Amino acid sequence: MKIKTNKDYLLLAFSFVLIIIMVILAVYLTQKEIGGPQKKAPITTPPETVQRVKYKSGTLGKAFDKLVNRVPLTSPDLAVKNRVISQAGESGLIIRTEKYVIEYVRAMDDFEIEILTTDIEVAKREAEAYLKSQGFSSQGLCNLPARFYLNFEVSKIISPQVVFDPLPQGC
Amino acid sequence: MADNADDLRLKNGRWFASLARPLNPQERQALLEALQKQDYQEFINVCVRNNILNPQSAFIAGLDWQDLGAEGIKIPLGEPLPAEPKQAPSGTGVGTAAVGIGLAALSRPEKYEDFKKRATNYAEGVAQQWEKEEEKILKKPPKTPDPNRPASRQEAYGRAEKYYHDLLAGGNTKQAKKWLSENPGDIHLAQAVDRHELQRRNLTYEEFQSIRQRYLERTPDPQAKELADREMNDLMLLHSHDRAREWAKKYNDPALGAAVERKRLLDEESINRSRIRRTYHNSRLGKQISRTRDKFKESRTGRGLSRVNKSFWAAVGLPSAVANRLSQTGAGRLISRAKDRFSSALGTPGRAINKVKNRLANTRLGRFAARANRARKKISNLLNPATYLQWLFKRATQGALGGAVGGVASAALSFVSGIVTTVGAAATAALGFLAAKIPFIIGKISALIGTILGLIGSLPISGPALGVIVALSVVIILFASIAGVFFPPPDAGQFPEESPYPGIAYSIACPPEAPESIPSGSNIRCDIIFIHDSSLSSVSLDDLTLVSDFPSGTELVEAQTTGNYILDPEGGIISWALSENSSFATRNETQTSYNFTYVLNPLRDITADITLSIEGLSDDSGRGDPAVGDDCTGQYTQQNSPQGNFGDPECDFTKNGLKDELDRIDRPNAEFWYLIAECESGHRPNAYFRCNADRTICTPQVTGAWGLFQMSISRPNRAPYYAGGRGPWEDQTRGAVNRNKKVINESFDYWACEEIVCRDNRSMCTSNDQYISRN
Repeated sequence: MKIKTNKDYLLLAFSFVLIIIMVILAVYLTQKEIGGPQKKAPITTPPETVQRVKYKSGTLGKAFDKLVNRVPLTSPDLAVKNRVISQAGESGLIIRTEKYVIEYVRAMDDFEIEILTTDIEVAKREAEAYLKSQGFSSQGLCNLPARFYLNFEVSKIISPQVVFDPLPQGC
Repeated sequence: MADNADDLRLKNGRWFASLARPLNPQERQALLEALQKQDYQEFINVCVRNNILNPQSAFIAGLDWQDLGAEGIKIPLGEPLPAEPKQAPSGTGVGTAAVGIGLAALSRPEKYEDFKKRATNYAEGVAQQWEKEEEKILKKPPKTPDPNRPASRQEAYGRAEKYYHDLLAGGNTKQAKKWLSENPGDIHLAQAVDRHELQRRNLTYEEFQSIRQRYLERTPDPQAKELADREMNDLMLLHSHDRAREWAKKYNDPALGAAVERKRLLDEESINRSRIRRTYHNSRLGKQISRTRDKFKESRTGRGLSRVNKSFWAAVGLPSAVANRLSQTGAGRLISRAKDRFSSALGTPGRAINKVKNRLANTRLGRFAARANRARKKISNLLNPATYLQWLFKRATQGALGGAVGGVASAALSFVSGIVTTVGAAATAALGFLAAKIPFIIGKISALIGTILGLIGSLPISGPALGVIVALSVVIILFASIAGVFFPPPDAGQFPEESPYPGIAYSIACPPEAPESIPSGSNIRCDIIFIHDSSLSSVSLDDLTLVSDFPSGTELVEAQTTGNYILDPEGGIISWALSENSSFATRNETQTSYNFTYVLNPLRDITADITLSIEGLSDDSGRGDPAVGDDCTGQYTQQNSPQGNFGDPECDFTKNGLKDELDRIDRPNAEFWYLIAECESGHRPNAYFRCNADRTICTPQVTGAWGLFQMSISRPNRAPYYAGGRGPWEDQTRGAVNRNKKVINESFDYWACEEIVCRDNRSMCTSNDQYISRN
């Protein structure tokens, strides 16, 4: 077909405009198809636990070291340990007072002392005195190993300023 | 599937068999592959070949192979074997068939002679299988040899024979003892019974000594006696680590002590390996590389490249499933080898030249020449901008010419197509639009060309005018398509943001965002994208569930919602378990992506946030409604367990139990975990903390911290989505270990108490960086 009249030109222009519209529409539609979500989801950061108890610097790491790198007990301390354990029986409970609980944990082979009062230093002194009264030496307590920890409810109510040492004195 | 527990679990979560020892990575991979292919014969074959299963796992004999996945069960030691198998595999003694025959025999042991014959057949079958594999290995030695592979045919035979007898001794002890009493000369059976005896819970040291002695006496070969002694001590240690350790110390037993030492060294080696991995991951270099890679991926260039890459390979490449299959055929391997060699040969001169160039460049003269060259270029550009512009023009002209050639070719094609038939063009248009549904450039161009051709074909013009229109159209199309690829609409097609979990990215979008609103009566469409990269994430996809909240005042339009989902209309939750939606996954090398859509119909005017969370990241075992126990005869009171007894509903928590559980699931870190639990909760499974008395310290999560390890719960008060701390103490322990292993790359970087220990004791930090950051 040859372009001869105005009508032909009009038709040509109309076709061209139509094509452009179709192009724009098609681009828009295809872009919409490949488009992802416009809004990013809120990403939750895994929370960490909070430090409730302030430990004396270096002590918790040392307590762990005492657990995994054992120092052999001297013969007298070993004898006292065997006697105390056999007296404790299957439960491992050695003594329970209002201020502390001492128990031997077979699976860990250690002595764990739970502090039940906010008067931490007094409870520690008394617990240590009790163990020494059984015949343990100061070094023996370190190498048993004996370790203090705070009762969970106590740890919630103590002042954040309190600095806690889980090791017996002199360790 | 747990790789370090003493139980092996199929994906449906039921118990199936017991592991004799932790799996190494190759075994784990082989088992996973067999499970994915649902090839249970291969699964069993791997187990048997590597002596993975505990002897008492004989109950698998009672199941049809095909049913193992669905019917996996656990039968505790001492219970009778299941009834006759539905259908024992036939065969004459090679590989898995032999296993099938052997195991089938165990489920109805008729005669001792038959049992012995089958044991021989089974061992012979395994030995033959070993020979076949050996041939393959000799032809093509593996890069990493399997350390558990028997060294000789004789060893393979011996192991299989022993294993078969162990199956009987463990699975049907009564029968084994009866036959032994009738045939006291059967050394294999006698030794199997002895080995089984070591598992008795109430075994004393004296009994152990007596069994060990008897075992040695029954070992005929003097040279094998030493190995037998070692085997018995190792077995004792395997069955009860604590008892063996205690006896070694208490009775000063050197052989048992040596076994304990061997185990300790193995554990240490495992810790060291793990530490090296973690050290790299946490090192500055590792982090820097990871950050750079992520940044590039998220950049416009990275995203563009990724899209173009995907589009190209999707357009011209074979589907990955077909390609994988082809690559595994002989011809595929040959082609692959030839390709490698060809590339290698082609690259040789280039590499040699590069080497020389590099050497030269590093000499004083080379460095001087480089400096001079750079200066020359700068001067040249400054002095002769015309040349520079000329060069630019040349590049532009080359590009334009390329485009023009393409345009003319397309125009010719369009011209011919347009004239040939309107119907054909219309069909092309339909195909083009279909292709446009696929998000890549080829699809878009096809769609556009097809549309235009359809339109032009239907126009009442032809000849040169039509040619001009076609040529112009093609130019516009190309321009629009290229512009569309490189300048996408804002925010469209964005890669979801990396989540805090390595290798996992996800996003949800429910446009519009405030302050815009949707017209009344319109629905809200939410699009979810979840992408998992198995090379970065150690979380199994089958463990994960995507969960989305939707606001009250809306209802789900189920007809427009995709995927296999579970709807909880009362709770306003819709969830997709990925294990149920594998058909909706798109896989590309190590990446698997899922797209889900759901549509909400607002019943009134609402303003709300819609969120997406992932369940199963930290705890793949502790799901279900947490049972709340009583006070365990006054042990747990409101004062010390304000949230009730969620952690010890069976009243069976002990510190010894905790340590045993930790030994079982994460032996190398058991002591560390124990100390963390002590520091976090004072070993209290019901511990709950939100804020301290004067509210100066609070947990970051509003739902508080729960249990032994003071972990969060992902969905408060909504069973069955509890996780982390709020569950029985065994689940709490597994949850903590799982989170550490699967989510945070064994860095322990979640527990404040770990920070303290790391600060105090450098050896407990996973890297120097960590130590420095703690201090």
